[in-house]
Amino acid sequence: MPLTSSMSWPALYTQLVGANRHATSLGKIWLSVLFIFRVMVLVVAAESVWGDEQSDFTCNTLQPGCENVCYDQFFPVSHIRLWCLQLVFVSTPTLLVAMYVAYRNHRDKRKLLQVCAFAKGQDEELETLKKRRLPIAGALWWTYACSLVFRLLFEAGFMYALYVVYDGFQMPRLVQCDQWPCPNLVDCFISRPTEKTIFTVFMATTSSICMVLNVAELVYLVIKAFTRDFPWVTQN
Amino acid sequence: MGEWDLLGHLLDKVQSHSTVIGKVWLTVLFIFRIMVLQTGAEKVWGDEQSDFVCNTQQPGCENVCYDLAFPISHVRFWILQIIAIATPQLLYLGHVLHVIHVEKKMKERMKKQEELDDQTNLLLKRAYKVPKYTKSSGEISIRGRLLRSYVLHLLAKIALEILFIVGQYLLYGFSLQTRYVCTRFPCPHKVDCFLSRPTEKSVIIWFMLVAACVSLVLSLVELFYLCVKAVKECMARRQDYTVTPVTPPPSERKAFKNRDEMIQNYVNLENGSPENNNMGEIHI
Repeated sequence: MPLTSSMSWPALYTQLVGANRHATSLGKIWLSVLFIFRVMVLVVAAESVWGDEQSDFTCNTLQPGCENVCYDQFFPVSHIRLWCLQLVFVSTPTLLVAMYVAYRNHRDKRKLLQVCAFAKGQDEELETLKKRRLPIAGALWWTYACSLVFRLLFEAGFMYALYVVYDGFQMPRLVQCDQWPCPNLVDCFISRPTEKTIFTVFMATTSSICMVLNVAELVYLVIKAFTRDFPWVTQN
Repeated sequence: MGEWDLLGHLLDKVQSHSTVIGKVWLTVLFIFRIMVLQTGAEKVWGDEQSDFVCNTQQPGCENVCYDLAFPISHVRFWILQIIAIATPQLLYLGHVLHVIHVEKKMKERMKKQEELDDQTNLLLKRAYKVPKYTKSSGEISIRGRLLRSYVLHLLAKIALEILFIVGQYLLYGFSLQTRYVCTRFPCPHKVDCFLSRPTEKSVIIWFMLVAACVSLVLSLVELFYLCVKAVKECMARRQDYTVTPVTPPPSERKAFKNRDEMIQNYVNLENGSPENNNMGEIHI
């Protein structure tokens, strides 16, 4: 069974959607772009493209073991695994926000229980507490902004790592290898290089779109905070 | 339908804000394209590379010939096609959700206004906007900007559908031949390569092509239907429109001859002009 199916993307989605209630509209768009254009494409399409990457990696030699070492030299980490890790890391900062919201709710619940210990309608108040949407201000603003910065760093980091490990976003058709036990410089042929290039470029593009959304959201948050704290600036 | 669930869930949300034909289009998409892709096409294309056999012993020749014959597999091409044509609908959903959000806020503001006294109410009523898209039943009607956005999404869908159908024709044609002739390094000479299950693949290619054409036709019909409705409503409104003389500017204004004329002028002004909608209202 492929790794990503057992990683339970739906469970991650449920977690993120819960945390995303306190996000801005751009944050909600980011989540949809993430899951439709990246996770879904990864699971539905990209996995089958990379499925036979080692079995159809052929080298022009009969020397046993040569194909193994050559494959290992050129593909230290498969694209699929890098993208899975990238998606997991990029989703994690949102959980920071979820943790903060949970902490706030817990604190407010305790305060509520202390204040109206004998009052009626306490259950209703608790319900509204759970369902309310906290405004993005104060400590929540800082947590949210931090999560955006981390997201950007992880995205950029993984894109750069992919670029460095594979020397660009294009998959070559032929690689030459002379690792022991290959007897001489051996031609090795990669399976489906064009299709792999297409999907690598697609994933890089969607990653850039997500980064742009994150930057836009950060700018929006900063402007919002600025206009809130200095309202006289916007008044003429 | 595992992985397509999220897309399905989002597209379902748009269903309640589309026309009847839009709903039919969505059903065609899910049953005839996504489901067939998942249950049928993937199995047929499962052994596409392992059973792609070339008449040569040269290592690497099969790899490069397969890569030349199929730069992108049909299955992946269809997946990208479905995602591409779903995207305009998702953008339209974004617009609808934004409108719902704004109208909800307006309604809340209006509720607060009702609690104020009449005098302040009169002053504030002119300052605040009124919900434009929400009908009395609470639903959203597709008009004005929303209608424009809907038409744009239809046009984008049609354009993308045509693009992908033409793209598929240019890449592979509409059927697969049993034999593919290949001359690429490291193949030593012209090599015959044999595809796996070409007939079965051709059948599925034709099926997916027909489904794409049906979707395209549905989108075109929907566009035509909206145009016809818009024209009809425009004509109907024009017939109801009672022409009243516009109040002349002060320089040309004559004094009223009698009290009745003055009252008539006042009544005309009170009736006012019809609502100023740029694209007209479509009740679907």
